[in-house]
Amino acid sequence: MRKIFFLSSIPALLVLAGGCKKILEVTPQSSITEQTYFKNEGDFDPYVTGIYTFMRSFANNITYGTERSEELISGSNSRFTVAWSQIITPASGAINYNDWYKAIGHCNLLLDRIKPFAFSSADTKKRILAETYCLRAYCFFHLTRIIGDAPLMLQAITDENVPLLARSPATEVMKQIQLDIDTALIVFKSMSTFSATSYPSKYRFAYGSAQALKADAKLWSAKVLGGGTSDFNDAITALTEVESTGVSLNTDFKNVSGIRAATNTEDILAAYFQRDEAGANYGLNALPFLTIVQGALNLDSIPYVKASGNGQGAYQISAKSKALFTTSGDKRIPYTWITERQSSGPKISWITKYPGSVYTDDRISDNDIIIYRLADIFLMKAEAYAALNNTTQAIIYLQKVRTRAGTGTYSGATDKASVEKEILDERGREFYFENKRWYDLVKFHYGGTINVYTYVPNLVGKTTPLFWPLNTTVLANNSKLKQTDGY
Amino acid sequence: MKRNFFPLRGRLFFLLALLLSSFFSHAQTALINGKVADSSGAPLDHVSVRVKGTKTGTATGADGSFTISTNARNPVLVFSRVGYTTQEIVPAQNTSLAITLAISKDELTDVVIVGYMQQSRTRTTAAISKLLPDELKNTSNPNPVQALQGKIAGVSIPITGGQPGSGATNIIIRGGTKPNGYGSGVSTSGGNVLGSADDVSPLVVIDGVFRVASAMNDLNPDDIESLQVMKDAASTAIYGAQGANGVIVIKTKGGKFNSKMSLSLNHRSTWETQARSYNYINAEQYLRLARTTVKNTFDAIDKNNLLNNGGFSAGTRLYTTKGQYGQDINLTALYDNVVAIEGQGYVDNLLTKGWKTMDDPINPGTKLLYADNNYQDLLWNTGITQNDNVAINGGSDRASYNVAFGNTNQAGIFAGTRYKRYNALGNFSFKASDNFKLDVMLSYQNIRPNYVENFQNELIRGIRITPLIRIFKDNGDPTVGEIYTVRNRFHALKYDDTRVTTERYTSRVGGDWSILKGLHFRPSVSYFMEDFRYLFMRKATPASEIQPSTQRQKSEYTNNARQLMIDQVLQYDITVADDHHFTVLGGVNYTHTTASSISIGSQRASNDYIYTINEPATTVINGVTTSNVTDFNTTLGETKSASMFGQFSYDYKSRYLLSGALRYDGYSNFAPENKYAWFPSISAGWNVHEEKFWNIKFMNALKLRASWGGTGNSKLSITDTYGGYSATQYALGSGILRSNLSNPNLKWEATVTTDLAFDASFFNSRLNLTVDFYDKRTKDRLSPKPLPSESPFPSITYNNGELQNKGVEIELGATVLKLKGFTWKTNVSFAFNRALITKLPSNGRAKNRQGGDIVYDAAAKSLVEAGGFAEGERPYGLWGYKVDGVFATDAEAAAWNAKVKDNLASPQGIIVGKHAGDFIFRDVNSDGIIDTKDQVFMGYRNPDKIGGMQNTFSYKGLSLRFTMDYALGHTIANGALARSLGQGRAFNEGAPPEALGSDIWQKSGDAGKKYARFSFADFDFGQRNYLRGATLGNNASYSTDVSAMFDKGDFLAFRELSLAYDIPAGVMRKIHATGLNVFFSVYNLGYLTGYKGLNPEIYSGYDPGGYPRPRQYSLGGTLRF
Repeated sequence: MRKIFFLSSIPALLVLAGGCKKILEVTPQSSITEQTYFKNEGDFDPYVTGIYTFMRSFANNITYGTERSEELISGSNSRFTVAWSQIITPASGAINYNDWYKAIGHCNLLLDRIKPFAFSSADTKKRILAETYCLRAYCFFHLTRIIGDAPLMLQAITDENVPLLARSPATEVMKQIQLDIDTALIVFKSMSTFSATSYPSKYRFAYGSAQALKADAKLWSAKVLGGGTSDFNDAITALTEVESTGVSLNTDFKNVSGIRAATNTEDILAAYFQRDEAGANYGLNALPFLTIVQGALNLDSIPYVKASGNGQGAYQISAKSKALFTTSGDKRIPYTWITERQSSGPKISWITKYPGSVYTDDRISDNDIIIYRLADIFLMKAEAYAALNNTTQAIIYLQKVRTRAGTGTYSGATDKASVEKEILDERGREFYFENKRWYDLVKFHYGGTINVYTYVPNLVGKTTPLFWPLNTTVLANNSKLKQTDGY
Repeated sequence: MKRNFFPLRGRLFFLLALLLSSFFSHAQTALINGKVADSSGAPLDHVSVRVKGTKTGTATGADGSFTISTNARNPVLVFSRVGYTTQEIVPAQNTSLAITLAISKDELTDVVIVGYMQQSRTRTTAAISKLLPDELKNTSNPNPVQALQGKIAGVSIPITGGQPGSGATNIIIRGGTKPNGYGSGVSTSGGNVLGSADDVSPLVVIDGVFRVASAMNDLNPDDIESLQVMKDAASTAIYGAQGANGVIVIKTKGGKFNSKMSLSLNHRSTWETQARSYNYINAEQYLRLARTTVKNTFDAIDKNNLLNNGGFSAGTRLYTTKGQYGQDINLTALYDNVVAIEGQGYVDNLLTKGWKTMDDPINPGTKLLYADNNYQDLLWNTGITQNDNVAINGGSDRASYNVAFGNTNQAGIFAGTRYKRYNALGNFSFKASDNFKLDVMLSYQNIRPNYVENFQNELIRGIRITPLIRIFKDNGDPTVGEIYTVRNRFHALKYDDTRVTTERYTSRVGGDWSILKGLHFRPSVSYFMEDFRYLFMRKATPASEIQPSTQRQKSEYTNNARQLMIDQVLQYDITVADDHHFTVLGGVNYTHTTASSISIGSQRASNDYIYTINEPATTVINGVTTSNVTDFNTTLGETKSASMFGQFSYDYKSRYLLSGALRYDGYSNFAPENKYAWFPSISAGWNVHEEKFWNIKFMNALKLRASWGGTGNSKLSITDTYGGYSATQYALGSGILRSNLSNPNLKWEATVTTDLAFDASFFNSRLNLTVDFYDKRTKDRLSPKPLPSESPFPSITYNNGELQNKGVEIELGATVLKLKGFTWKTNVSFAFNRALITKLPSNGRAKNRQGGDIVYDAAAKSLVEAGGFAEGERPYGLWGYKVDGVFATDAEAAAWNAKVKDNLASPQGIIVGKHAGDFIFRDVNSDGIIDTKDQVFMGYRNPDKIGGMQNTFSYKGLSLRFTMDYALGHTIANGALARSLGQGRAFNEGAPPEALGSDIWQKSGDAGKKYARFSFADFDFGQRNYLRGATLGNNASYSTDVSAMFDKGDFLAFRELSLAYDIPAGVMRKIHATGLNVFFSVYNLGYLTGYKGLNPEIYSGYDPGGYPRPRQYSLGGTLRF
C-alpha cells in the first residue's frame, strides 16, 4: 500500500512541483509538424517532388482541357460533366479553384522556407528553386486558361490570415507566369552542371520543358491576351531552344504514347502514371470493358479491359474529330481510334491513344500523360510562324509532323488563314485525346482562325463564355472576387 | 497556476473540523454505546444516531461504533443512513448495542456516483439518469449500447445497422457538442456504416477507468451492475476536459463481504431474422420490366449492347463455344442458342434445376432461357446466437470476490457475419487492515468478429444485384457478381479470408485508506491494454474471371494501445451539529496514452496456403521491377493529460443542498500557452418537502435544483495545433507535402451548461417525475473554419464560434397498477433538443455563414444564402429539388421542354429532354432553368424529439416487459429505393415492387403518379429523376435529393417484449438450487412509421440500405446455486 501511495504520488508531486508545462510535453513520433519540417536542406527535394502530384492531377483533368472541345461523344456509357454539354453557369459546373491554389500554396511555402538555407550544394538549391518556379508557373497558366483573370497569391500562408485578393487581369497573371519561368531559366542556366540537353527526369521540369512551357504561355498570351508579335517571337525563341535539347520524334507513331516518357525520345515533359503509384489516368473512361464489346469481330484489336472498374467505355471519338483525318493512310489512325465491328455493322469508335498497359490480371489505363513532346514543339512553332504570316517556315514545321504521320507533303493553300486552319486541324489529329484541344480551340478562336461557337457542336446556339465561372463557395469566402465576365 | 490551492483548502477544512468536533462533544448523564454494521457484518460509518424527540445525536465512526449520552427517560434511538432502512431501538441498560441496518431496496438503486463521490439521490443536485438494472438482463444483443435505446431522457442512441455486435456511431447526450453527431453521407469502416460524423461520444468511465465510448460496445451486459448517465455540468465538470459530451459511468459487478458463495449459470439462445426485408421483384417480372424498359426508353443508352450483346443481366448474347453460358454472369440467354451450343440435354437438365423459359416480351416468338438466382434467399438467413455466462461470487469478513466468464457467439442475418466474444472479469476487495481497503479489478476481452468487409461493395451495392445474375457457376464456384464493387457475397466468402481479433486487458488497483475519522485517501492506478489485429488474405481467383485490382493480396494491421491512469483523491466527510453534512475532496489525475500501429500489405502471393506475408518485395512485370508492397507504415502516438480537481458538497438536513467542483486540466495536444484550462461548476438544490410548511398530501417530495458549469473537449490532434506534413509519391520518388495548416492559437473548446430542474414524487412515491431544462453552449468549437479558396487549404481547425443545445427532458416513473400481487410499472421519457449555431467568427457574410449556397426564396421573391452554418440557424437542414408531378404524356413533356431547361439532367439527358414518365421539377425562380437556385427546403437530418417507454407487468414470479422508443423530427431520403428505380450506370440492380406498383408511371397517359419511370442509367444518360444531388442536400454520389424520395422519419419502435418466470424456490430446493429464472423475448418487433424505406432509424438524412436491424427471438434462463 505504501508503494502504491508512493507510486501514485509521483504525478501529483510533478504537477505540484511546478512541472505542469513539462509533464505534458510530447514529442510527435509519427507526425511531422511545422516545428520539425524545413529544418534541413534535405527537406526541400521531397517537397518539390510532392508538388508534382498536383501537376499530375491537373494534366489528368480533362474537364477543362478536353470536354468542351469537339473531341468526345459518349461511348457505351457516359461520363461527361456539364462542361461537355456547354451548360456552364454559376449554379452548374462552376469551378472551385482551391486545388490550384493548394499547389500554388505549396510552391509559395517552399520558396519562402528555402530562403535562409545555404545548401551544401548550390546546384541542388538551384534545381529545387527552378523546378518550383516552373511548377508555380504551370499552375497559374493552367488556371488562367480556365478562368482568365485570377488572384495572384504569391505569399506563403501559414495560419488563418489569408489576404483577400481580387482577380488580377489575365495579362498580369501572364506576366507573373513569364517572370516565374524566366527566373527558373536563369537559375537553371546558373547551375554549374547546366546542360540544355539534360533531362534528369522527363517527369519533372528541366531547362527544355521550362522553355516549352514558356512558348506555350507566350502563344496563349499572343493570341488570347493580345500580346501579338513580340510574344510570337518569344515563343519561337523558346521553341528553338527546346528543339536543341536533344529530343527527337519517334519514327513510329505507335510509340508516342506506347513508350513511357522516361525512355521516350520525343517527350519533353510528362505526368507519371503507374498503377501501383497513381492508379489509372483519364483513359479509364475511354477504354471499353469486355461486356460492352464482346462479340466484336475485331475484338482482338480493341484495347478492352475485363473489369468495368478498369475501363468505363464512356468516351468515343467524335465524328468531327475523325473527319480531321482526311488522309486514309494517316499512320496515326490506328493509335487514335478503332471502330468496333459487330456482325450488325460498325459500332463505337474506341479511343486507342492511351491504351494502357496489359498486366496479367487486366489492362490498366496507366500510360504517362504527355504534357509536352517534340511534335507539339514543331506545331507550336508552325503556329507562331503562321501567325507572323511566315507561312513558309510554318509549313516547314507542319511538314515535320506530317512526314512522320505519313500524310504526304502539304499541298494546300499557303495563305495565313489556310495554314493556321491546317495547323489547328493538324493539332487535332496529332494531339487527339492529349488533353490540349479546348485550349487550342480557344487560342485559334481568339486568333481568328475559327469561331468556336460554330465549330464545337455543343456550343452552337449557345453563348456560354469560354472561361469558367467561380462557384458560390469561392465567391462567398472572398468578397473581393468578381464573377467571370459573361455570367 | 496555483500550486497549493487544494492542499491548502484541505488543511483548512481539517483544522475547522477538529475545532468543531471538540466544541460539540461534551459529556452528559447516561452513556449508550454500540456498533452498527450492515447485513454482512461490515461496520457502517456515518450512521446517524439520534435520540428520538430530542436534539441529541451523533454519528458512527469508521469502525461503526458510536457513543451517545442522553438524559432522556426510556430513550428511543433512531439509526439512519442513506441507502439503509431506518431502525428504532429501545436500548437495554448498560449494554453495548449491536445494530444491523438492512439495505433499503428503494434506496439501493438511488445512490449515484457524482464525479469522485457517491451521493444519495435525494442529496444530489446533478442531472443524472440511471439505467434500471432490469434493462440489462437477458439482452438479446451482446452490445449493452443496444439496451440503452430510448430509456434515458436526452440520450440518443442512433443504431443504424444490424451487424452482429454493432452499436451506435455515437451516443449523443443532449445533442452533443458538435453539430454533426449523427453523421452525414455514407462511408464504411470496420463493417459499419459511418458517415462523416463528428465525434460527440461521451466519456465512459468503467470502474473508475476513463475509456473511449466505443469501449462500451464490447462490454458484457451481464457484468454490469450499474450504468448511469451524467448530463449537466454539476455532474460532468469534475471530468473537465473530457466531460463536455456527457459521461457514462459503469460499475461492474463485485462480490459482497460476509456472503455465501453463489454460483450463477446463464444461457440464452437468440434467433435473428430479417425485420424489414429487401423486396425485389422476381426474375420473370424483372426480365419483362428490364427488356421493355430498355427497348422503349428515350435515354441514349446502348440498347443493342444491353439487349443483344449481354450488356446487362436481362440481355441475351450469342454463345459460340461450349461452357461459355455456364460461366457467364448473366442467366438470361436465347433458348435456341444454348440448345445449339450446349445440347438439349444440358438445357433439359437446367430446366429440372429450376431454369425457366419465356417468350421474349420485346421480340415475340423468341424463347428466352433464364433462372432466378434466389440471391436474397441465400443472403439472408436466420442467425443463431449462443450466449453463456458463469459467475461466482461471495465473500468473507476480510475479502469479497466476483469472478465471471462470458462467451457469446452471434451469427448475423447476412451470410457470413458473426461476432464472437470471450470475456472474463474479476472484482476483488480486501480489507487489508481496519483502516485500509484494497479493490482489485481485472478484466479481459477477446473479440473476433466477422463483419461485411466492404459495406458499400458487398452490402449496399452487392445485395441489389438482379435475380438474373449468376451466383454460382456450373462448376459450383461463386461468380464475382457484377464486378468487385458490386460483389457476390459468396465470392467474398470463398476467396477472402479475414481474421480480426481485439484483446483488451484492464487492471485497476484502488485503495481506500481511512486516515482519520471521515478522512479518506483513495489512490488508484489502472492500466489498460488493447491489441487489435487485422489479417486479410485474398486467395487466387479463377483466371477466367474478372480479377480484383490487387491480386492475391494480403494485409496485416495491428494497433497496440495503452493507457496508464493514476488518480489520487483525498476526501473528508464531516457532519457538524448533526445537520450540516460536508464532503470535501481534492485530487490529481494523470493519464498517459500511447498507440503503436503497424500496417503492411503485399500482393501477388505465390500461394494461398498462408495468410501471413512471405512474398518477395518486388516482381518483374512487363520488364519493370514492380513492388509487391501495398502498404508499409508504422505510427506511434502519444498523449498526456494532467489534472487537479476539487469537489465539495454540503447539505443542511438534506434540505438545502450545495455542491461545486473545479478541475484544472492540461492536455498535451494544445500549444504550450493553451495547454491548461479551468472547468468549474456550482449547483444547488432545495428539498422543499423537508420544510415544515410542506403540506401537500398527494405530493410527497419536491426537489428544485439548478446547476451551472463548464466542461471541455480535447479531441484534437497534435497536427491541428502544430500543422502536419505527410508523405506522398511521384514518379517512384518520395514526396512530402504539408497536409494542414497549423493553428497554435487553438484553445480548449468549452461547453457551459445551465440546468434548471425539479424532481417530484406523488402518492407516496408511486409516481415520480423529473423535469430538466437545460441550455448548453459550446464555445470556441474546435472545428474547421472555411478559408478563402486562394489559400493552400480549404479550411483550418479553429475555435469556430458557438453551438447551443437547448431543451427539456422529462422522465416519468410510475407504478400504474398494484393489485393483489399484480403490478404494472412504467417509465416514460421524452426529450426535446434544439441545436442552434449561435455565433461564428466574423467573415463579412450575412449571419457569418460558413459554406452554403444561393437559393431562391419563393416567399421573399429573391435569391438568398442558405445551408452550411449560419448564426441563428439549426444546422444540417436538407434541401432538394421539388417534384410537381410526373409527365403523363410526351406532349406534356414537350410543352415543358419548350419553356424550361433542366440543367441538372445528365449531359446526354439534357440533349434528349423530358418525356412522359419524367419528374416535373419545379422552376422555383421561374427563370426557365432548373439549377441549384431551385433547391427547396425539405427538413432536417436529425430528430429533435426522442424518448421511450418501458413497461413491466409482474404477477408473482411472472414478469412481462414491453419497451418502446421513438424519434421525431428527422427527414430521410430513401436512397435504396431511388437507386433501384433509377440506376446510376450499373444496369444490374434489382428492381423493387414499386417499379410495377400503382404509384409509378408505366405507360403514356398514366397521370398523377408519385414516381417517375423506372429507368437504367438515370445518372449517366437519363434525366436524373432519382439520382440528383442538391448542393445543400445529401449531395453524395448518387444521392437522391428529390422531394418525391424524402419522407419524414418519425417512428415509434416496438423494441422489446419479454416474458420471464421465476420458478418457485420450493421446486428449486429439490435440486439444491436457489433460483431459476427462465425467459423468452422478442427484440425489434417493428415500427409504427410513415417512412416507407428500410430503416426509419436513419438520422443522417440518407438511407442507402445496408444491414437492417434484425428481429431477435431469445430464449434462456439463469440458474443459481
